[in-house]
Amino acid sequence: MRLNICNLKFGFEDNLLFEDVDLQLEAGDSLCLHTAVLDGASSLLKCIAGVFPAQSGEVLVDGIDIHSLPPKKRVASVCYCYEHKGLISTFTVLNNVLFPIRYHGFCGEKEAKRRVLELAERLDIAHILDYEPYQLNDVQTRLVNVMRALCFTPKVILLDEVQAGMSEDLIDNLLDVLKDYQQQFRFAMIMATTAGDETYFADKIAHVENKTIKVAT
Amino acid sequence: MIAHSVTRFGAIVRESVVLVCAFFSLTASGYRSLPIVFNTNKGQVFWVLFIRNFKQVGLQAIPFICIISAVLGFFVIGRAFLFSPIVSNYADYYSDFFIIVVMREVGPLVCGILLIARSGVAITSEIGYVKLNNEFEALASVGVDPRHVFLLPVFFAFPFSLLVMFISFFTSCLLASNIAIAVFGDANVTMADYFLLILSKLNVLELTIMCCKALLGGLVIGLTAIHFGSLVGTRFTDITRALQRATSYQVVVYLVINVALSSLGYF
Repeated sequence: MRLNICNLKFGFEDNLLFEDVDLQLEAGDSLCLHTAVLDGASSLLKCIAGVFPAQSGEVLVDGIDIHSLPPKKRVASVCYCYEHKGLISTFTVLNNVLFPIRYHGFCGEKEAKRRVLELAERLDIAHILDYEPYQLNDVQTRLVNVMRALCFTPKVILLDEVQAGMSEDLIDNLLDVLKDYQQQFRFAMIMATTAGDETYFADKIAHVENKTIKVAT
Repeated sequence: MIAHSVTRFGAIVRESVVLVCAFFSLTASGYRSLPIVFNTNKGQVFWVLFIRNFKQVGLQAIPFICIISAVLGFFVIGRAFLFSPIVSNYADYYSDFFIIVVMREVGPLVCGILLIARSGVAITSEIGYVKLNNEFEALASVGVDPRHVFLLPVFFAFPFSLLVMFISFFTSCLLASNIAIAVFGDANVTMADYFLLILSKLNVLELTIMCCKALLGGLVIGLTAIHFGSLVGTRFTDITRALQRATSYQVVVYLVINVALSSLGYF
């Protein structure tokens, strides 16, 4: 698996957020994208995930542009984990994860439930599976987003400031789970981080500078 | 004052035209999404959502429909019996009265207004809330078409729910009106006789008009709710405004459909 972002240019109407973004990641690689407030990193990650269209450039996963893929294949390639919300308020936590899996037919219902329960136990959120999104705090909402992405087992996972508001124990546990699943499923991972977040697990560190991404050498 | 009224009238006409276009657009969108019903994975999901909608919209409304129709049936027929001229074959007279007043007009009207009040409002606020919280984007991020989650279940659930409500209304009203006849008139007219008399007067045209009112009326109520819910912007007050506009148009359009179909079929 190879993620190749080539000359990506992205923005909204007259507001150009990023240009000449180039990035390569192999299977099992982790990159921390150090971000500041209002630099548009969340929108960039959504563009890489195919939620927003790019103005120019390509996001290639194994040589195929994800913006040209149908929804099922796009989600099987790249998954984005929201920093805020990202869940459907009319579904419980369990159905927020199960529903897209059943919708796309990624696996049978028994296997889907098994994945969800296993991950929920590991992330210590098994007790909130019957909750509705309005009952969750920000940290729980982010963990549910992560759980959903890991259940899909995509080739690339994009995590948007997932460590924010978490205790050290929670962060350590989350990073352990991500590392274990990454070793098992060999997905690449881009995590947007801010000041104070852990980055020791990353193979590469990058930061936003002058509307592009600079990877630290 | 006059200028303001003219401006307001113009705005209503413009909004009505937009609503008609949105209705056809949503209907076309619903038909284009129909193939998923036959898709193994997406079809399973559709049926779960459709059954949930149908239970909440149609089946859970039955107790309320039965209470309203029983009260109406008892007092309307009871009143009619007390104040109408005495006729020799009153069972026949009141079966005509039941069909013309209750089955053709009052029943569909009451059921439609209850559907708007209970479920039209619920769908408008649900779609509005989803829009306000950017959940359509969340659906897109997991590759789910929002039409399959919000449009298609309503597309089918509302018309069939309204039909079920009609049937419940007529059944309950029939029972209550029979009791009214027994109380105010002759207890020798049995339920079976009264029921068979009404059945004998129902022809294909009656049933067709009734089904058209249910299916078209239900569809219009559901799609109007989705249209106004989807117009919600970034302010919470947009939801309140959407509810007001949706219910106003739903009531007017549903009334027009009923009158138009009755005029076409019965005059």
